[in-house]
Amino acid sequence: MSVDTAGQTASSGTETAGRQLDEYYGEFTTDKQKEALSVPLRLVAAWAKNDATGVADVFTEDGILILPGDVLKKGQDEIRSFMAAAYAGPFKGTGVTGKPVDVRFVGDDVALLRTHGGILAPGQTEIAPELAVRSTWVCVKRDGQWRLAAYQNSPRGGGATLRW
Amino acid sequence: MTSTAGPVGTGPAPARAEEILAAAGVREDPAYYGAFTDEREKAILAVPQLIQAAWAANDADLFARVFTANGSLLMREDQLTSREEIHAYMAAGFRDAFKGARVTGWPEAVTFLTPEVAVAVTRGGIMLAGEDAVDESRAIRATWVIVAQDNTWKLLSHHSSPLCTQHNEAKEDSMSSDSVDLVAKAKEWAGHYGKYSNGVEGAVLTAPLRARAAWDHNDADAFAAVFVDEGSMLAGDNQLTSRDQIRSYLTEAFAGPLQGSRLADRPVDIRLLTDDVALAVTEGGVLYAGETEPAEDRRTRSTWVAARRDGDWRLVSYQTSPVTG
Repeated sequence: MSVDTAGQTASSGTETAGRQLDEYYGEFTTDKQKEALSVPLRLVAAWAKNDATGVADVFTEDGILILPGDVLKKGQDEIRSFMAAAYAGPFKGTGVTGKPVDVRFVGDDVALLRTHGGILAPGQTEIAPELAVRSTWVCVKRDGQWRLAAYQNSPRGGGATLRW
Repeated sequence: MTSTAGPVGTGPAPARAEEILAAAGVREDPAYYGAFTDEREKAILAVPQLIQAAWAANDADLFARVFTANGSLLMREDQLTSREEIHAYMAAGFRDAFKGARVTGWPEAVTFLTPEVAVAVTRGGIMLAGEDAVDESRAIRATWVIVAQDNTWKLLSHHSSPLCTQHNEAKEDSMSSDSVDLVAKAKEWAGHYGKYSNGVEGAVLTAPLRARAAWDHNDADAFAAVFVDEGSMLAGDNQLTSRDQIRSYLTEAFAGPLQGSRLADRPVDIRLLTDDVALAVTEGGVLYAGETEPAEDRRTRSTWVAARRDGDWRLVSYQTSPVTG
């Protein structure tokens, strides 16, 4: 089960959407955990639209994006331009999905999330071994809103060959 | 899985770098800090120095002590989620695969999320016994989450990923052709950045690359959309001077002589003229349907002028000229 459907609730009805959300949260059921776990959901929803601005907006203004291969993007502007080019290029039509495996807080305003997920090739609903990743999300609450301060993913499994 | 882990406690204002290092019997490396010379940044960067020292001494005790009790460390496929797991893993490693190995690295970013939580980014990697440089296949970039605890800075999370775009072609059974295709295209795409992967040059290059991607789809609308309203393009003898003209010209060309063509340029120079205007020079040419590299007599050099608009890089001008006579 994945979160990629969470952004497409219109046709599936609120009951189904709620069930899918519950499956996404899994064992992380406190309000505080769910709130922090909205960060991956927002990124998944923006990615589903290949919306570079939407992806950048999930980050803090000086947020950091690190991907396998030599990708280090600093700040919303670099992230937006990089993603816009990626969506024009090979990642056009792709989605992304993930499920939390670890959630921990440092005080009330910082959360460390770990998800297992990956990119979905156009039309796919399951993560192929080549595209499987482990992700670390460092989230911070700013002005009442959880934002992504740093994101990094790494290949998951011997067959995970995607590099950016 | 550590879902039951409670919140990580933070402590009083932490010590300075030299105090943190001295407390562990580690000598400060003044050259380590690079551009991050603020005392608070240096205190954060004492943590990677401790990890380097622990590697150099093959000392699992020192290594594990750098972490919080529920600290986590990702070593390729092994996600360790407590100080004890980390200790056991590294002790075994230093007896075996990591015997005589050390790590090197340097900082690329230090950010404070709160006064008691910081994120650092480093690049570097493991040098196995007998190596004096990081093998390309083992070069990594890492995110460190570092928290104030017990009057010092402790490592809560270390996550690394490979820097190299090459990878071992480990095959698994259930590969779908779609994902194989995506991996191949992503690798090719990463190569288009050349040596300008990151920083402002990498951001500038996204503008020509978006145009290139649009060209490769023979999509005149998307190509024109990369330009500012008054953008210009020299196409053969036609000096186009607006986005609309560019769109019309290419709509016709992609339906005619340029149908199925692709753009195959590599960046050779990128320079900032001001904070918001940049020049990119690329070499290559147009690949006509079926070609894999530009014919020798059709090789071109191109100048792309890009401007930053609302934080995003757009094309102001694109001009191509022949390299050969």
